[in-house]
Amino acid sequence: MAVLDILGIPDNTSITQAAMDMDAGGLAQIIFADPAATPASGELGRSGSTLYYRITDARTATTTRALGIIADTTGTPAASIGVGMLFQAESADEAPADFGALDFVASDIGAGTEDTYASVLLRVAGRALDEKYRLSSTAGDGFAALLTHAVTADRTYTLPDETGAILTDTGHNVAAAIHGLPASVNVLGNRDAAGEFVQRATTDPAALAGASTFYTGGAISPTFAVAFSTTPYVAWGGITDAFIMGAMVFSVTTTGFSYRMFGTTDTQDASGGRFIALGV
Amino acid sequence: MTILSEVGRGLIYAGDTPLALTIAVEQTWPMQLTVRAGSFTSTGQARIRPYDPPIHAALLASGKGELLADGKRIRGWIQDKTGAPRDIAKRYTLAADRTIALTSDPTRPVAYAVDLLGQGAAADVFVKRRIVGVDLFGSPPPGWKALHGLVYEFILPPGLTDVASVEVFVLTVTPGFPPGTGSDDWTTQTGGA
Repeated sequence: MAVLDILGIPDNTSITQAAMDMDAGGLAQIIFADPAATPASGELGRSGSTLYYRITDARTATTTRALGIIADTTGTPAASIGVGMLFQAESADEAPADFGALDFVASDIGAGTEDTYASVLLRVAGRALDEKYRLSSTAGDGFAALLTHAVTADRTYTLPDETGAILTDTGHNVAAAIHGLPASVNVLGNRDAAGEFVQRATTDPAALAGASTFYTGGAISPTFAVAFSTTPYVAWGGITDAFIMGAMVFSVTTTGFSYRMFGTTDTQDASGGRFIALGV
Repeated sequence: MTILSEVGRGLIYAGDTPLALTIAVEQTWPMQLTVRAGSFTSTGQARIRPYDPPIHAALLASGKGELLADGKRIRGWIQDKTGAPRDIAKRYTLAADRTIALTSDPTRPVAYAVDLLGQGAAADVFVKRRIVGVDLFGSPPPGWKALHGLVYEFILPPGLTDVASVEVFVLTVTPGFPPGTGSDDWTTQTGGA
């Protein structure tokens, strides 16, 4: 097929015109030659495989949008109206084959309340392009995500199929966030290298101060009201005297136990202690 | 001497266990106690479960469990890691009476307590005596193990010649549960100590 000249102008002819609209009603394609150089400012041209539109201005710290795409409507716009760009290459059986699309879509087209989102559409298993990622604004305040990486291998992050918060570096060191615990619930302890759970607590003062003499009395051996079938757990406490420091429970059996109190004076009222035994 | 047993101080219901005691303690002279011949049966270590014949038949046949008197529950002896029962209830017999001579100290209080000891199927008593604030109670003789307290610690005032005024608490075992209660009522026990 012969290549027809535009308006009868021979190939490789330069036309210089200060202002010109070209309205070729039957124009089907524009064919760009490859001068192997990028076009000058204001020019549209091919260099190698790439088509360029170049604009050169005097800005230093602003962004110039060198290319614009408009897809407006003669109808009445509604939410989900958008504009996008299709990217195609070739697959085994399709030429061209859709590889991806980038759409910008309105979620709100109200006057003065417009919200839009960017949608990345990709193919999965040969199916048609489908939205896989969406970066959306949220009613004006917006959402910003910066994804940077310098990895040497693929990294996969699978997000749960639920709505929730993702910890940030202002939130990751919060115990409640780590453990998922409600307020007023505390966790004490850590695991050591061998997997053994180790309890640890900080006491105040850190070191015992002064020298105290401790007194202890004879062993007391209460019996249970009813015998247990297995040796129960026994805890002792409840004494009100401020000088009784505690008691050591020992010799626990199915029928009773022994305990020995100790304190800082030897004349205190040691009565009133209580025990609880748990067993079957 | 007033010989007593109260809840928390010697009186205990056997509950679902085989615990039993027929050994009695009496005052037989002003400064003498007598422990009457009888037997003591320990509780062993067991779990009580509803009896389910398909599950528990082998346990019964092997002697690792036994049916309770109600026929609805089984007592399974707790087993060690080799599968052997760790502690099966055992009966110990005190074949003859034992007399215990009490002696006070002229100037210091003296504490006494009596334990039941076991060796094989035999039981004996172990009398513990110490000067309060000076001595500690001794240990059972070699070859015997302490089974249970029989007479709980009591104090003889200095120079005492008749223990009639002294309260002594002794072990008393009553079958079953306190009236109006059952096993579910006693998995958690509290008390003064």
